[in-house]
Amino acid sequence: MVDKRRIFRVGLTLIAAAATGHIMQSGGAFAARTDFFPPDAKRVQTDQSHFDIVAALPTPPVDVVGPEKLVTPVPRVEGRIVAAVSFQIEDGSLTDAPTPSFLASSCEATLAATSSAGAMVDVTLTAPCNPNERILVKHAGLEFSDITGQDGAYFVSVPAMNNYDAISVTFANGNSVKARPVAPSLERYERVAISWQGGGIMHIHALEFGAQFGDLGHVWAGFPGTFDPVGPLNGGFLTSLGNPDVVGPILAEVYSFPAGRSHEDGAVRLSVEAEVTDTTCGKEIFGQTHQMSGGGVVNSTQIELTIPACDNIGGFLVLKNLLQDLKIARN
Amino acid sequence: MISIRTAFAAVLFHLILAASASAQDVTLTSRDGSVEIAGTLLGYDGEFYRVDSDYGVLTVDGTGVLCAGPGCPDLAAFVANIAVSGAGTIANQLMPSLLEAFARHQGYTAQRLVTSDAEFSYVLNESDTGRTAARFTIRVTTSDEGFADLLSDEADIAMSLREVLPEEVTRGIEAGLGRLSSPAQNRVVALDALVPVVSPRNSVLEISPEELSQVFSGEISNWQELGGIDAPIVLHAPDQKSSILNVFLETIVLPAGRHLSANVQRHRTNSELVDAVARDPFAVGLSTLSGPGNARALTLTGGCGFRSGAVPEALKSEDYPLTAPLFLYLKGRRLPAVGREFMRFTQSPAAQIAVLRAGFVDQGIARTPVRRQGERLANAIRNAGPEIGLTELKRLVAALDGSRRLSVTFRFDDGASTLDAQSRSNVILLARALETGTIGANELTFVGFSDGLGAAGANKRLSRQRAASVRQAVLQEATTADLGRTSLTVDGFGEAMPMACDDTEWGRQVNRRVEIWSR
Repeated sequence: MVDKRRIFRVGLTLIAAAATGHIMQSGGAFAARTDFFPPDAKRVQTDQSHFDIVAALPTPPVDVVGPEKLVTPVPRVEGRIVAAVSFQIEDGSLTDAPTPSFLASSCEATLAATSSAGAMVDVTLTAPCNPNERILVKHAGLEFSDITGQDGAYFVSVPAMNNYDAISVTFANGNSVKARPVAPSLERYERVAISWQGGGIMHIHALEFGAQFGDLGHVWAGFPGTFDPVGPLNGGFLTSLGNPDVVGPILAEVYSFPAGRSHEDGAVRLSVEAEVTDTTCGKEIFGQTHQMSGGGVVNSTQIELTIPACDNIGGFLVLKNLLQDLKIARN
Repeated sequence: MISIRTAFAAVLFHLILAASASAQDVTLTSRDGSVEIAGTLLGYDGEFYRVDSDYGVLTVDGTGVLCAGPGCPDLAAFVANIAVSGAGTIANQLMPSLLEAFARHQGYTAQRLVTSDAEFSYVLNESDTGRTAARFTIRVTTSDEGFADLLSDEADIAMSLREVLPEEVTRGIEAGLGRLSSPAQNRVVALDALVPVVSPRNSVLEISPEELSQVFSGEISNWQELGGIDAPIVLHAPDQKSSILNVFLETIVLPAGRHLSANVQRHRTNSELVDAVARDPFAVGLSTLSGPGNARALTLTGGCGFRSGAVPEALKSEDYPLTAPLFLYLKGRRLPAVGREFMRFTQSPAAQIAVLRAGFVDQGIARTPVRRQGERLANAIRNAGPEIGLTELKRLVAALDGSRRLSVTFRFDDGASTLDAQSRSNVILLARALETGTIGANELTFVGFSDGLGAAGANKRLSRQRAASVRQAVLQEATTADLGRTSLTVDGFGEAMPMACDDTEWGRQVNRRVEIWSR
């Protein structure tokens, strides 16, 4: 079904273009010339000035897309060779479903972001040519890895860290799609997050207003709390992100507290517990912490945790001072 | 006998020296070859060699010499290792904020390495090359252990919630680490305060320091005596090593001839203490402004109608009697360049933002206009004794009119005319502000006040003398200040405008002060 020769030829064209230095050194210049590029695209192009353009061509799933649809638009304008790459980029400010185009039924990947309760952003990825693929979701320094479904679709609800850093999904080949976060209620939230590589087991524990372990005000992955936008305030909630089963997992946990609705003055004590397992013992875990307050001011810190030695398997590394406690003022 | 022992010691000394010299010796040669120094390398800070040579311990500028021998450091791969040890409040709350702000300010990327709650480090890499420039290792201990680590050469910087003790100064001198009490070897990096806390369900709102001292010594044991309900008071305090507890005891309890009650529940951390107090409506605890958490702070009343909340202005001016500065202490030895830059950074405006973000009070100079001093003036009139006449009060009002009070205030250790730690830091702050012209005033008046003991005339003279000596200290520090732009004058009003009652030692100490008024 697939016209391998034609794809091969396009690949050659791209390589030739690359060899003459047209694409490789001036993605930005191309982006400037092709007016359908969203502003963010420039940055993406420049970032990837060293990637392998042939590899960037997705492999179309045989049953879904005819080869013509992939290839025809490409050679029309020389400058639009880059368009073979740019299909990966979608301006997420379009929060409604992306406008269907003749590319839509092909390998175009799109990302849509809509706001949802709790200053969360519902992110929908449509990537028909990337089924069962490892993806990396990033937003304002927060990142986690997951896997697309059999149809290349993926849905996740991401806690917004601010309203200006794009939410991006990066595929295995390094290409990415982006969407702008929309979280109008962000300034009423305090948020802390931790993300880490290597798949170890790590949890944020939040003790709200003097609660002790096991109390109602003890929020963690085992008791993540709920968010009820209209009901009485019942504390913060925890979001677990990422899939531990993908290769090279990057996982994240985010604790959110709706400080703007608090009826109490007080503190939320935050600690991080890392489990000592047979795969993590004695090793370093790399990650990041993020503290967000004031409607999107994020303070991020690169961290490297040394997990205790392997004679402590089953135990926990308890860190009470890795995250700053939240101070909540009554509203 | 004595001579034999000396000879033996000398031989032993040479043996040790020979052994270490052969293990790690260097020869530093000046670039023109005219000077050569051989010896044992004691350290290299990225700029200077410290060599134990035949001439004693020498510090040699690395740019002027070439190093040869097995002991020479790898100059390209030099990483400044800076060990910091001391109080948990500073280690956990302030240092991460300061170090991250410092890294951003200097163009480093920072990575926090964590092994446990007892120790962590920050690695600073140059953003462009990725080269590691410095590693700050922070041990979370106590003020006492911070000083011990500094004195045993295991730390380069000690974090402390109290001033250095005289015996620690002595040990420092003996160990060749300089005089820890000298201004060059310590910095106030932020301000905190001791705050009495109660449960949010407790109905009592205010307490005087005198009452607080009676409560914690057990003389007052029922809330009824403080205007609350009939219930016994449950005492909560930090554990014995706490510097904050010592500040409380030394400022309020011991001078009144009292002692801390034995019936006190102790807590290892401030969070535990505050949360325990928050759960018990009959509890009172000694906490800090930086971490009141789930409990509620009590306002301190000074008696005689005075009232002092632990608000930033009151901490900066030490009008709040239980202000507790946060210190960093250094050895009398050069830190590596990055370490010196960090210490300089702690005194900069950029650092004050990090201080605020970490929940402490910064040292930025604030200005209070005279219209907000109405309560002080009312107190002055209310408390004016027979010795303060209407003329003097009119003179005070005329001087206040149109001027602003700077938050830098100078206070003295009990009775003496030596400035307390925060005031010594204020001398430097004010001097720097004069040098950089950030004050923007035509005239600064150093206004002295005294306590009410003794004759009014003598007090007025004494307060004026103190003001003059503070002015002198600031002038000595502000060597490059343009005094043509800002003139520095002196005045004294003796006991005319008290800030607290004179019937306690801490009250008198609050009253003995030199304020700065600007026009």
